[in-house]
Amino acid sequence: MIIVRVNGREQTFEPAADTSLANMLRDEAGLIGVRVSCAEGECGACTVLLDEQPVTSCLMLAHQAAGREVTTIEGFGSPEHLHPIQQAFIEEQGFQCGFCTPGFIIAAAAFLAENPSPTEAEASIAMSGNICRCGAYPYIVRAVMTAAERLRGATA
Amino acid sequence: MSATINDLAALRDGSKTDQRLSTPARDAFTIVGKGVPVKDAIEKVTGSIKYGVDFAVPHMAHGKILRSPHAHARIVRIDTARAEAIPGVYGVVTHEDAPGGTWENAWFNYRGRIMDGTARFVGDEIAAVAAVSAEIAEHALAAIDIEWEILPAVFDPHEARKPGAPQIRDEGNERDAYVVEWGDIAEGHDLADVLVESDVVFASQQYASIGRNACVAEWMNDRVTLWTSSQTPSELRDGVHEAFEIPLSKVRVMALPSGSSFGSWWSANFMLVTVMLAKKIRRAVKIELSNAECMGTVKRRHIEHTRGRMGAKRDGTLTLAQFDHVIDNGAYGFKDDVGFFCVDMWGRALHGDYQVHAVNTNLVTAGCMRGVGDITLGSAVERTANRVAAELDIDPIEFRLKNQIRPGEPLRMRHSLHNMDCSVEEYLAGIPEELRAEWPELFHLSSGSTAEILTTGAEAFRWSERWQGWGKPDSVDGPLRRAVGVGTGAHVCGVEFEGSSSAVVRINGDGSAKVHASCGRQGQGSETTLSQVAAEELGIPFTMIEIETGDTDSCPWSHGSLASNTLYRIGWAVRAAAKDAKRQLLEIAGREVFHLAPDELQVVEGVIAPVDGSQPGVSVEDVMNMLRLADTLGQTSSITGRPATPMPPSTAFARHFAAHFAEVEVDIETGEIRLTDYLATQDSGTIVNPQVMKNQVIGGAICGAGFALFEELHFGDDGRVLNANMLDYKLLRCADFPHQAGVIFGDSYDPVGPFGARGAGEAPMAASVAAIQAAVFNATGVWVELPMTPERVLTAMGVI
Amino acid sequence: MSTTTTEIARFTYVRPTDLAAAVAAGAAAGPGGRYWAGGTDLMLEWQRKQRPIETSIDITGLTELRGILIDPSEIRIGALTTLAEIERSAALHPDLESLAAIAAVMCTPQTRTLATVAGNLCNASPAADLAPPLIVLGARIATATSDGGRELELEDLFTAPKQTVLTDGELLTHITIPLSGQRAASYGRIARTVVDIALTLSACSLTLDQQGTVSAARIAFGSVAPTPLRALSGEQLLLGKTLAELTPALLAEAAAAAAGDANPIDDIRTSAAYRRHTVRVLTQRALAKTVARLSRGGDQ
Repeated sequence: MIIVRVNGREQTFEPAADTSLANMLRDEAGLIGVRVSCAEGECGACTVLLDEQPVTSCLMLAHQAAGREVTTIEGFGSPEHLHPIQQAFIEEQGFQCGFCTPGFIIAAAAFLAENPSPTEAEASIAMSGNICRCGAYPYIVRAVMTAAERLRGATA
Repeated sequence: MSATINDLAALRDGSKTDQRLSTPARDAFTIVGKGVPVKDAIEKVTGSIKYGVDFAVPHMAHGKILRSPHAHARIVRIDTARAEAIPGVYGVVTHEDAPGGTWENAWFNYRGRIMDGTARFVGDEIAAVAAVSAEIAEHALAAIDIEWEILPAVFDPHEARKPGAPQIRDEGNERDAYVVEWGDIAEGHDLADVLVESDVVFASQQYASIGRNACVAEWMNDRVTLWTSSQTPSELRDGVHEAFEIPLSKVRVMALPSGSSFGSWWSANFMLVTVMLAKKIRRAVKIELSNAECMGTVKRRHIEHTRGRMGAKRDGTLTLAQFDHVIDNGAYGFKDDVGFFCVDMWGRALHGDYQVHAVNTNLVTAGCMRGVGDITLGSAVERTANRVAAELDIDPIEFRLKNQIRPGEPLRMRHSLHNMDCSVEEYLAGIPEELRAEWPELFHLSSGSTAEILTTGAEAFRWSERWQGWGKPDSVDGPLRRAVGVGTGAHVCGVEFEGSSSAVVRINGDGSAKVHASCGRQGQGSETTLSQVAAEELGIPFTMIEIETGDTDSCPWSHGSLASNTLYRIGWAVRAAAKDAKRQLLEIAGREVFHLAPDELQVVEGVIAPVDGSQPGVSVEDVMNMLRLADTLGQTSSITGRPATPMPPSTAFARHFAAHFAEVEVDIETGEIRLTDYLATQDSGTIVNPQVMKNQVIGGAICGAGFALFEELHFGDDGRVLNANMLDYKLLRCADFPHQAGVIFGDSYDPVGPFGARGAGEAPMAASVAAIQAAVFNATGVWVELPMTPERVLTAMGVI
Repeated sequence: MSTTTTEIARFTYVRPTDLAAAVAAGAAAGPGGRYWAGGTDLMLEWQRKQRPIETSIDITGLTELRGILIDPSEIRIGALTTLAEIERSAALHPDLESLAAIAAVMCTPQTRTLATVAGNLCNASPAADLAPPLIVLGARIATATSDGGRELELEDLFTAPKQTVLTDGELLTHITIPLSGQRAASYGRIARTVVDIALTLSACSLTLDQQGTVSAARIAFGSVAPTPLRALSGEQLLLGKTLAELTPALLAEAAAAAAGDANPIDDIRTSAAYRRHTVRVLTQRALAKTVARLSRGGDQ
């Protein structure tokens, strides 16, 4: 049995030795916002924050999350109180089908935490760890820039 | 970057786009033309939306599919006893359990029986196991014992056409050729001052949908319900009905949104295998595909080979277009006569002859993928036309303005004619006059073209400044060469071959309305744009409209989201249903409340009022409640509207168009290509939602750019897919495409589509491939085979 | 359906918290044991059933194997240092600049959080991105076993694709980069999209002695041989030359000689011919960049 702090609450899990963090979060915690597509660390859909750092949860053993803090998209905003990044993705329509969107939003959050005032080119590179097959990339970059502005405003 | 980008700022933020929606009809729109956020935006950004892989029912079993290791083989004997004995296994199905019916996926992929004891590609469905967990089901697959008779296999479509080739299908390997001819090719040759020959091979593109798919099926007594991600809920219901030979009324498909799709998730055999398992074990069962299964065993774009020629007079008039095009259908593809709307776009050529030969091979099934035909044959025609223009030293935009179709001109593709066994005139004579009254002239383009968008786009892209002539870069910096290119694309706007798409609109007692329209939700915004169409027609606020797209029990039959069908044909049906509902509402309101004729009333923002303002308005809710409680007939509780007539046959008049402008930088020592600037222009009639449309257009450009640069399925000597993964099937990423790319919309107004709108999503793919290919030619002076990998660039340049 | 359970093949997971316990676990596990750090390669190998694993020894709790230490004579990089940490290390020392630049284009940001330096090396892919830039910096590796350990040149680690000289239970603990006089390093890398395994990679370094002549030259390649490869043939031409003598023509000659050491194959990513050609182009460019850096350094 392991204890993981998931979206601010401690939870216990009993993953098999070879269960990925992504599958544990989906199957045991019901966090379907952790999307699994390629399951090989390429698409980034399964991105979650592990102690505030972005990780491809499909490639990580669930057991390695023991005692650590995991944040999934479910820990970001609620429909009534969206996170500024979520709000920016809606306004700029930085998505189409939406499957990759939680991964992009979390990758954006990690990026903006490190670089609160990025250039568009930096944002574009930072968003390249995720794949949007629908091709919303230009609007994803704009969403990140809009969110950056809002987040800077909020902390000013 | 370049000044163009600044010029485009106004276009990007939508302000200029909105200005373009300036015809009087559009000025009156309240919700059509507005870039409202998509209806499911909050579910998508909070991760709560459920796709096929997220769906579950209590106590369901989990299934896994045994797939053929051979490209072509017959099962001599299959023994499932060991697998069935494994603890945790509920049941196993093989071809011996397969129902006798045969099924097809639209009319493109004819499967036959779900399993028939023969494997026709590596990965073909052979058997399946249901168990308490997916792991146990997978474990049990290894305990199914099979004795195979290996059959000769064929992977090359040219080989598969030859006499004596291994026969993959009972119907034979080759479909009837699809032929489009006009004029006299010999005369076209005689008239030509220049003649250019082409020979282009296209690798197979993989849909590579993000999100995989799963199917849950539950068989209850003699009925079945399926939950899966599908663009074509009605077609899937039809397939289950055909394969299991049960009435349509006993099949319910609950289609869920899909993670992208591009044609991959119509109906797929794995869904029917799930139903077989559910029927056998009498318990709900879920089959969730791995990414490797999605990319290696479902479908892919055809491998295609174009050979042909184009000729022109010295003044640039095309005198002939003659192409022979071979496509491989893989094992279960059955495509013969769809796609290829480039034939229409370049239909001004004085003489034409296009022949398409579709051939089965022992590769995984090929199916229609976004831009089918127009990204392949279309880009080959573009390339050939460009070479003609280069010979004549004519600017590519001028050449297109001279040679591409305009409204009112004949369409060369005659799909519907193939379905008629008489002349157009005889066919029309049989159509009731009141139906025909609203039909545009058949086999002529009703509206839209490349002309306006080419002109507007060229100006915004500063084409005349940047274009240096054919094969000439506009800047050289050591090994780096930059150049621009332009490309055009066209595609259909839905098809009517299998029947008219229908829809239902219901006005509820509280004044809200629900649309029931069977279509896909793969990110193209159908739930939003169809709701905007309904809201505009009904006069009920957009926020009061909801839509059901996936439930075949409530949605009437529709072709679903294929062939750029959704907004044009389903949107037409939604508008017609809304009109019908509004007519009923106003008839009752006129009779019971206002004592006026229905045409003296209007609905604005949910309030019914006389057009002349002679009486105060009453909300739809109040009218509905008054009626429900007290109308004289005592019969009204809700109002249901449906289209009273079928939509006109739109393949016979409607097309959408794209013109794209690309700048590339090529490193001529390493062959690397970088996209450095991009502008996409689009003629889709009225833009119902500019936010949705710009995403569709740029998404198409990026998917096309992927096909132009990197995307290619590799097959082993045994026919196996070698790169059914995202490590070696390369998809463009954010920084691979210019983030400042702009979008401009044309200004045409469609005479038939809802509020002047047409289809949208496929022409951008074709234009993108053509534009990037031309830009690379201008940078390097050579035509590079697709996908234009660094290696192919250096090979074309003779460096390696 | 029977009620007994079906055994699904899994590995045993152990998580030692110090080096001694880790190598003891490694020794106990024998050939079925795998040290598991970021696990980004191992997870895929396991799921694809490419490599049987009986015991997964999670070493991420070994804090002593983390981080970068710099002293006057060497840079010491702990085995568990992540690619994300390497990516951010450029400011720590000039010798880390090319390493950091390469790390920044490896896999994705969210995988770089997990993946470790030692994992990239021990996975022994011919395309291992960190191997060539470390080899040209003269990197050595240190290992530990339950009965000791050893040090060896990094270039001697690799024996074949996915194969190293490490024995069962032997754990790579850290990498050292010996510091030397005036050194500059550069690399060139070709990939398909912005996130990709390298189709070809070339790294080089040049060290000047106090007289301003090249006292050490190193060239190393990725993705052009069964293992990361040191290209000795090109290095000889550069030794003993002054910066002024390192003309474009000489660099081209050295690059061509180095490229002759490549032994690439055709695969679905690209052809041997492309690799052979571009490894020469990349080497020539990397050498030119390196010379430019040294020239700039001389001006200061």
